[in-house]
Amino acid sequence: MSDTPPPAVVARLSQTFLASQGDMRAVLRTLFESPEFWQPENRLFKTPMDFACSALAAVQGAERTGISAEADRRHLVLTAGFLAQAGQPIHGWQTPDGYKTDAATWLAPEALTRRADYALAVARQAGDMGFLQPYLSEGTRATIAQEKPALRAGLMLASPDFMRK
Amino acid sequence: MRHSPKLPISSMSRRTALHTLLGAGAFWAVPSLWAQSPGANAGNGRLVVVFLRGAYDGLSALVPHGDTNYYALRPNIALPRPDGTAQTTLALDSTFGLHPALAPLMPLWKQGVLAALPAAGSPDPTRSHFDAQHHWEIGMPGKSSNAPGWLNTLAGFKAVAPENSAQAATKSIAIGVGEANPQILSGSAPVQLVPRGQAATRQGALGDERTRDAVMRLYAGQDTLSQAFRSGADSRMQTAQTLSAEMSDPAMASREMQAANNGAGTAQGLLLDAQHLGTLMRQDRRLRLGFLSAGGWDTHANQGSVTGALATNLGNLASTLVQLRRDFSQPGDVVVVCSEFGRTSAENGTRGTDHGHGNALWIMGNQVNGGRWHGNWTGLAQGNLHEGRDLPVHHDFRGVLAQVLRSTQGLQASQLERLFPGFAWDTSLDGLMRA
Repeated sequence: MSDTPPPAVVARLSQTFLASQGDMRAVLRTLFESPEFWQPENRLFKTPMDFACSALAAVQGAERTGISAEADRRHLVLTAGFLAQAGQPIHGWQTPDGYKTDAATWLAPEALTRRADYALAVARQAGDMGFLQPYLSEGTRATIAQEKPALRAGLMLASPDFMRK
Repeated sequence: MRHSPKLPISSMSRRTALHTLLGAGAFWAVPSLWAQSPGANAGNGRLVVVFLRGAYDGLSALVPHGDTNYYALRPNIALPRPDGTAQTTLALDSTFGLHPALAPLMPLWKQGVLAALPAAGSPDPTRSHFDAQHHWEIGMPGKSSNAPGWLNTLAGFKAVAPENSAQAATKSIAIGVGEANPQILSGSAPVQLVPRGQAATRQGALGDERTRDAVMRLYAGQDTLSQAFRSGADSRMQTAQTLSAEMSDPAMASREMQAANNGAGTAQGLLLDAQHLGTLMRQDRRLRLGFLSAGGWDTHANQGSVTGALATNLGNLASTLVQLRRDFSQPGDVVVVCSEFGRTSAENGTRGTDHGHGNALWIMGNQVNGGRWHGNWTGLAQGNLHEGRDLPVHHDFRGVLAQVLRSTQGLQASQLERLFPGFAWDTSLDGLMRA
């Protein structure tokens, strides 16, 4: 929900957790029922892994007839390279605490340009990704509409709107 | 939109600059805890930190060939006593010598610009790479919670006066080559982060004008994300252009090529990263603080001796330091080579070494009192070892760094205290830097 969640929500969740003796279904229900959860300013910045997975889901989801083995392989090679470059290689974290998930770690200037590289590369030859339109701001939609169609899918994935969950 | 008449701004910044200069002079007139006065170059130096991740085996680099315990503890992996050939330890004095793979460092030692501390490190006893690296990077041994990296805090001290312009506040003076987000550089000061190896020379999607224009239009806003993207795009284009220009110089290109071809392993890639760092900090003189790192030092098995995996890594480290010396030989420039902890003084059952405690730390620069080792050394007799097995930490790394930073960065006592909360000034190292 946020790198710094409102204390009231944290308190409600911990109460539910204790009262239900750790029933995650109940905890999640409490979370989804919190008005704060639905407030637009409470958003998370994608980690490189989040970003890659969401981009792959969008690109491969656009292929109604399924993705070719060759394209699939190209996507995975691109993705592995991107994750390594971005500092989040698959199973590459040395210690048991795992990768960090906050914006302070991942929202780094040069790393953002690498996301754009990856987005444009993985969306090359992608099908129609108009289904992403509702998730984009009006400004982003207008900017992308001015570009040639071949570039549009990549720009959607490279847009600021696609950087957050 | 900010609107300010042009003239007042430039006269303001000149006044600010004068003020800063006068302020710096006034500080040194104030009585302080330092015994010595700072060098003439205090505050002008550039600092490069080379971090060897995984705990390098200092006892194979700065070899205590004068200590018979060394040969008893390491029957298979000890470096042979010096016999004057390149297949044995290269004697520095009757106590220590260099690993033969570090031969390229001998001229620097003889010139008096390279020094070592044989038993330094973090006082915290942890043997966890993660914890120890974290302590080193935030400058607070024993603290595991999140905190800004000390190099980032230092960058904040050195930043251009904030009144200058909004632009000055976003201009980095610290640069890291190799890692995506090293803890030592994390914090509120802006930092330029350049990827490892050849990737640094590529503009990627931004290299195509039409694509770049389109992407930049998406990030035209004044929000944090858009500003970060634009600053990243500028930095990346600039980095790639600077490095490509250097590549077009044939002499440089062949060296770069060589480094690239050898660049399979992480320690080998260090040389190329060092070249990139040197070029970028030479072309942009606002960059004053640099960070490099290499992995591949966690030698639990078959680390070798005169030859082998560790020897190869040390050879690459030596080439890297020679390369850094080319770019960082201005009066106040300093290069520090360190690692999170040392390795066991005895070899293990697989002809390697395990996680230890104290370790050798290296410092290179014109202001370094080099050509000798500094600090305390009590040998490898079992009674003198930490927990009966490792080199002790005779000198807290913060005390070592404080000496370097006072001498070359002109830091005040209060700034050092912010950088390394609670550290103690190590008077036994007062001769480490030339006054």
